[in-house]
Amino acid sequence: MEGSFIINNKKRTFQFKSGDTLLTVLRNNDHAEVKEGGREGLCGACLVLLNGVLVNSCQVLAASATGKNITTVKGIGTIHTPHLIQKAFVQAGAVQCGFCTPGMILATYDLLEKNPDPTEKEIKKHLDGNLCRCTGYVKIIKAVKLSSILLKENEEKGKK
Amino acid sequence: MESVGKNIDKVDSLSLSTGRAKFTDDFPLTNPLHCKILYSPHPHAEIIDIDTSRAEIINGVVDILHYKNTPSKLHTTAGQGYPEPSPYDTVLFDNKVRFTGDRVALVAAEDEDTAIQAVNEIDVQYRIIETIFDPEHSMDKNSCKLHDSKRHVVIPTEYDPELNMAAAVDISIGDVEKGFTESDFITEQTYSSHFASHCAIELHSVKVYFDSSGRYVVLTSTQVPFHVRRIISKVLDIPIKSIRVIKPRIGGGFGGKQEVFLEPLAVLVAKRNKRSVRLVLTRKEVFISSRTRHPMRIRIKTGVKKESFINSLEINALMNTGAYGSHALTVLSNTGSKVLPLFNKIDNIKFTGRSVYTNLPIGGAYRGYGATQGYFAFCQHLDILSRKMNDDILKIFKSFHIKEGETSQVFEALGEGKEGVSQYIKSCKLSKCIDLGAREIQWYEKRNKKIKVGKTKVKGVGVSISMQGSGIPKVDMGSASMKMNEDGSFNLFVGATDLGTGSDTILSQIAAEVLDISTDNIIILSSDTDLTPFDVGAYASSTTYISGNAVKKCALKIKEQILKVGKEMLSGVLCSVENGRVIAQEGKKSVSFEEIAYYTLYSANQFQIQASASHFALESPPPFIAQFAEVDVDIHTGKIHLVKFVSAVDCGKAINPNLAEGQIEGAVVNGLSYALCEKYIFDENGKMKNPSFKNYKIFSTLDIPEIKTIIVDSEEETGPFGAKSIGEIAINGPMPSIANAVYDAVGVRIFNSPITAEKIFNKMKEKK
Amino acid sequence: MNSSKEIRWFFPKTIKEAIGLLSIGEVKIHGGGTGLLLSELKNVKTLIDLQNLPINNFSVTDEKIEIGASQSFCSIIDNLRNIGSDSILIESLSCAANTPLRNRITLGGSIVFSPLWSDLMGPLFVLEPEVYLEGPDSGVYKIFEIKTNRSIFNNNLITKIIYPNEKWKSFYYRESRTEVDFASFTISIILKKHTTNTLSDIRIAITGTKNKIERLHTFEKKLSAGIITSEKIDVFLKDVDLDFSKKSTGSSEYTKEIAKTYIKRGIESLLDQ
Repeated sequence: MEGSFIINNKKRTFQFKSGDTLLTVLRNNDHAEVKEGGREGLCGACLVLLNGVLVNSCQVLAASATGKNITTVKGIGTIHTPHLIQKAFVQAGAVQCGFCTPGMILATYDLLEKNPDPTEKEIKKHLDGNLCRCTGYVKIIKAVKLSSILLKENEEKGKK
Repeated sequence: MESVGKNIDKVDSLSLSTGRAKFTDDFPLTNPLHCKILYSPHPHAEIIDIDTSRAEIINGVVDILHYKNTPSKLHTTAGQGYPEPSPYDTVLFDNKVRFTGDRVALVAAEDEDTAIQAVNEIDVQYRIIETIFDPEHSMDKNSCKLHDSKRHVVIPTEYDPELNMAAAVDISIGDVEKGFTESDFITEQTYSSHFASHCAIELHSVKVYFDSSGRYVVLTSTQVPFHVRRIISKVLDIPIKSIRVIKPRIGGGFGGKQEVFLEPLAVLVAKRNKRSVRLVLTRKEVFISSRTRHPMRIRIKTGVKKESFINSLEINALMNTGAYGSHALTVLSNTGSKVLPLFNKIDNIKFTGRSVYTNLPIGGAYRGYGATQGYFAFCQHLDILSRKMNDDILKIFKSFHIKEGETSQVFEALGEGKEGVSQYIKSCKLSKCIDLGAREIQWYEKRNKKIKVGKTKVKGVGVSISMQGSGIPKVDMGSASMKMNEDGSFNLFVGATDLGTGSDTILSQIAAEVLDISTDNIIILSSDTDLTPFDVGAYASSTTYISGNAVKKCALKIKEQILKVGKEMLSGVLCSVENGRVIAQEGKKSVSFEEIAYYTLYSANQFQIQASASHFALESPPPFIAQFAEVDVDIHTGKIHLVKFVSAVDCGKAINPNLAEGQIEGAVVNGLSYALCEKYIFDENGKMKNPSFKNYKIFSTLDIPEIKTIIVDSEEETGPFGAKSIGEIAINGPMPSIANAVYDAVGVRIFNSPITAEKIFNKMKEKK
Repeated sequence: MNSSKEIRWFFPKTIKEAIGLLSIGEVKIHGGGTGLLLSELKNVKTLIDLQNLPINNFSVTDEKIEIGASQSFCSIIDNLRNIGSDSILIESLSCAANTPLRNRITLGGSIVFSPLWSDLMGPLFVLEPEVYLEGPDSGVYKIFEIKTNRSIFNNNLITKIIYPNEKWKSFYYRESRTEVDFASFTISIILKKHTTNTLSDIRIAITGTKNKIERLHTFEKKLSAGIITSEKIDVFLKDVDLDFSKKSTGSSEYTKEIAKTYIKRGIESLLDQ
């Protein structure tokens, strides 16, 4: 079948099978920044925002997502224009192998959109769908806190 | 311009955070063949025949590999130095399967779905053979044998397939029997540890394509690119020169990707079909068919003299290597060599170990590598002894651990596949680690206090200490080369393999430190067998120490050349390097690196400033760690609430403290998760029943306790800028520390891991 | 070839249209998709996607709370929080699966599939909502009826649940290996106190037993009958027959024992409040 999606603000049209997951369709079409960790909805490597909602793209059938807005980690920021959250992950040392990082960044983005000043408990709860085997989560949680601070500082600056 | 000791941002982290950095399966291939593997449904069977005709006629199926049409060269999948100290007991496809999950055939097809479909259409006739699952009985005379006598080891070590024995370790120092007779009391106890999966979030992935001259290019998620190249060459009889192995970004390894079991298959498919190939496992396949932490049963007998602590120690270790003997010898020998030297004041030591085959998943390298299993047993045992002696275990640890200037006979007696190497400890701040850790956990306020928490919980604290190594002495080698660019930046090429650990970063820092420039003037390229010099790869906690020393030497050679040119440009005065310039000591005249580079490349006596260097170590300075667990145990349910976990570590000089902390925290959480909830569950056929993250649980953000990490810098004179290693050590402490903390809280001991609520509950019941 | 097996998708806009599609046979419903993907889409030929149906509502009055079948767990949690509710559903659904999955798992899907980690059914068994079905068997059903008559979902569609907007004290416990895990059993308790140690109403449901979900009616009655003491709870609990098979968290005996421990703790903690 054929379907269109608005991926990181660009309209794209793909051919895919009617039972394909959104993860498969994205990875087959130059969106390798969306990672595959097990296709169970339990590791969070494949997270995207679907119409602003944080979802595991391995648990979404592409056919049901046509016409919708999809944000991958590249839609949050790029190597040349990184988002403050991405900078915070770097600064906090929250990136080791980096395989879980795109998902972690999206979960963090989603959290801070809703709750700009989360407690540690709220951070842990919101990132409960993202497995990481390298960091022990300590510096990831630190990165989320740092992101919150940087975003608030940036907002203050914007006001001035 | 100090670089070492600073929290420089990890060099690849922005690229990873923005989704730009590529892992193996992220590289697009044009029209590749997709591979799927057929696994054995039986734990032990002979393949009478295999009929692929129904699979072959499926539209899109291109090739099917099995025992009848593939080379049958014996090898080991262990990605170790050559010759590997693991038994050569594996062929690509055998006419015998030895565990549920052993490979039977591989289908290459135009797309993945077709390959999956075809795998299910392969008809295999099996003759079921008797099985052996219990390692305790594997070496019995009448138990079935997994491997025949053609299988062998390349190096002279004990190996006996007739006995199901994959390896043996026997060392003896002093006279233990005599020692026991002189002891005041004897304590004997058995401890067992369990299977575990590495659970790197990136799945094992290999891609193969041909370059413009028809050579094989292998992109692979490996910790050992140079070993991959060599093993492919040997197994498939392809010249080394025709193979290029590239390690892109790796999504975690932890030892699981030190195993060369997929690359030869993918290259063979490419060779037969002259097509590019993609072979990526599913999570289920990783669980059932890749490698595991070797389970181990350890019996410890100690004789204690009241005035001098342990005077005689006998350890017997039985390691379950599963169906094949990957790392069967070396993991076992590490249980001795990484544990015994820490307590170097024991006069009489006997260590006997056997690695045995069973019809269960294959063991392999796993962070901690035998030390983890050993410390689970030994640190619990020491806790038992300290309580028998009514003495503070911290005091005992501080008196008896190895100190600077001291040695242990075990260093020399026990190596990896050969005799060990004698060494004297040059740096050890373990006592300080113990003190700082104890203060952080509030040891003396909590130990033996059985503080009540709420209505139903009791608090306990437990401790363990451990050491690891820094590479394998007289075995591991790493190398580096460098060249200078016009702007005073440098390309650094290292064979060392960054699998997410940050080695690209700390190696850049080491080079920058030598040249007194900022780290971002180092452009690092690692792990490409065509472009970078050799390195054994990322294992045995070797990279910082071995590869780091190579980088340091290489950068020193570069510095020498720069100074020489600078001197020439500044007309022969005495010069030094400072902040990216060469400065004349008298007159303060100076030239920048940029001017030097332009001068050498374009002006006079043109040449390229470049150098290369290798490092090979005669010793393996151990890092040391003290780890403390605080738990609240529910006296009605046995449930453990992990409150806090503290690690205080001496890793030499931390090149990048932030990254070093990250290594510790990651290892700690992996260790906590292993201690409490990770577990292989087998059915009666030895088939893993829980091969998914749904059913094999690892810790998430919600499961972690408060985690504190203390780095106690020491100066290791043989290490690059004083560094030792940090990659593995911190995984050793969680399980014994928790076990000891549980005892401190509720007075019961769990000798067989994992430490579950029900085990505690039952023991508390028994005690009543 | 399985690779060419195409699924037909329908996106009905009205309930009537959806019901019509349900009758064409070999049809599956696609809500959030998580339940479907658990069964790996085997043998699925036709999918009816519910996203355009007007069943994603949430409303509240003084008397009742109405939740549309397409509401995701996350929306239910947010909506209940927004109305200042302290419903047992907030706590239980917050424990289900993980954050991104809670964005996909729907109320309707969870009632139909009752998957292992849906922390929904226990609480529903104590809240006792009415379940609204459209289709050949259109009507209002009790949640208990649905459990015993699951085939009703083959050609009917859940549209919403409605339950009384009442103030309860509530306790929820789930037993699992790690925080993000299938619960091996769950305990849902809601009660209203009459005096400090007598009750005007109590409802207790347990999931994960061999009966999958059950209400402890006899136990509830005994507790409601008079003054509650710790000893009385113990005595009453002795007669509660909980039958578990072996669980990932422990043997059947252990599970039984600690399930009772947590039931007792739950009641006592609510009485202490």
